[in-house]
Amino acid sequence: MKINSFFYQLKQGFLNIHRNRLFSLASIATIAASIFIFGIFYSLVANFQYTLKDAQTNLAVTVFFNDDADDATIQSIGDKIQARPEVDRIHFTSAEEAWENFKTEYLGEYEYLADGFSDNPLANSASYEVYLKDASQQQELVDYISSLDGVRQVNRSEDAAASLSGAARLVGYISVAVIIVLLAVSIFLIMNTIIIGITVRKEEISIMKYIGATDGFVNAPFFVEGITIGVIGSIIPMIIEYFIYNGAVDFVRDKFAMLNNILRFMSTAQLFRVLLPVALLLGVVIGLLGTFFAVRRHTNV
Amino acid sequence: MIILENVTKNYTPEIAALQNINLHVSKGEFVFVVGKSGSGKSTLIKLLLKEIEPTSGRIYINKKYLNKMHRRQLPYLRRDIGVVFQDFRLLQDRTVFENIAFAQKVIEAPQRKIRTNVLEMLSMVGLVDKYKAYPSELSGGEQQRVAIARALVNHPDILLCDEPTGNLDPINSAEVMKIIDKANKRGTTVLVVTHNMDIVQQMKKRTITMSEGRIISDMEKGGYFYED
Repeated sequence: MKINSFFYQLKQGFLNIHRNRLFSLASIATIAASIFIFGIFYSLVANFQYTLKDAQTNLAVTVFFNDDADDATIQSIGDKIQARPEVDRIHFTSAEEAWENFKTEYLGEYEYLADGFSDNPLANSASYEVYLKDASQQQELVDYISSLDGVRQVNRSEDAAASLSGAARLVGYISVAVIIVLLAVSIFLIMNTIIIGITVRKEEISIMKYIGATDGFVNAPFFVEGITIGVIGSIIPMIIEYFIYNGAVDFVRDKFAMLNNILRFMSTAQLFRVLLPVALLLGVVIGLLGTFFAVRRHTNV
Repeated sequence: MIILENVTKNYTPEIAALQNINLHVSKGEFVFVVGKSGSGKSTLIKLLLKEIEPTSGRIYINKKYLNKMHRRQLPYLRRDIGVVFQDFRLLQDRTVFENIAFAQKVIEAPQRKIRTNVLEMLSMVGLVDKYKAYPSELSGGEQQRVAIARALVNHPDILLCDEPTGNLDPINSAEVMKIIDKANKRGTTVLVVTHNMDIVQQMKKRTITMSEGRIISDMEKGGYFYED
């Protein structure tokens, strides 16, 4: 396409929006609403996964050793566990540390009661705490550790791991379903707006075709119109969400203080680094698809 | 230039709009096509513009075989053909200049050439002083002259006119036909579908008469052959 034709098409596209401004506004509003809802779901999923990732790395498997296991055996077990790809990190707790922790956590101000024990009652409680990268691989890891020589017992939090992974999957599925419906509605609306624009310009299109305009030349202004509507429809909700995200996070932290230990929130910058380009791309794709479906049949004059 | 070989067009199996038409129009010719309503004149124009496909037979324009032409090639065929309609089909929201320039923009002519070409056409149809006017400010005859200028501005090899004087009074009709004749004298092949008996009689050009989808006469410098 020649440069003056390019600017001509751009101008015609913007003129289409202006001539058809009521429907263009309605389309922008619908796309903005859809992308706003998409943004909310994305923020929920992203923050949920952020929290989940945090929780998963804190999800530990505890490994206890046989009574006769010496330091070399324990070290060897530790090396083997550390070498597993699903393991994030491991932490060794000696019998002494275990007893100290017990005294601090359970005896508290009655710590003097511990003086009655001359030997460490938790002498066999040296352990590794193994932290996973992905909670869904816990069973596999437990099976592996149980098979190692010198391991007496493996304590795990299988239910917690399963429910966290399950919850993540469920939120993901719901989000995908909602987003697909919203995308379909947006594409349908933008398609209708473009069809109205085509109907208004039917005579002009027919003349263009008689004169020898290519399909690309006839359709280009409609693509400009569709993509512009899509992009405006995605920028507006992003601006709104940018401002309300921090407020919403502060509100949750303030009003639901008991959740603070569980929930981890992404920063606005972290969230919008992905959300903004995705939303813009979504706007462009909605505009492109809506226009494509509209011009496919309706400009064949 | 234009060749139709045994062309038949059926809209339904029972109704043949054109039956076994054979026609040869040479480069630079001026041809009238006359006939009653429903005789197949409009179908002929639509076939030449490849708006519709023939049921059987072959059509060639400028040595291009239309039957096998891909849809993507259609714009380039139509750039060889200027079209003028009875109802002018001007864009009402654009000036005379913009209506003519529109045809140049559509074929992506260079910006600097558009102005020169449009002014040349305006001068040919005698509307230089009306270049800023909108179609609603012009008489029927003037609107048709703008339509002719738009059809000719891309310098097509062929000019197809479908009842170009159908909405005009005798004076304006004569004026419009004079411009079409001028285009023909510059080398454009012209095919005019018309009911206007006076013009056909006056201009003494080749005249093809159609009836019930058939060519019933083809006369050199002929007159009008049928009564409507």
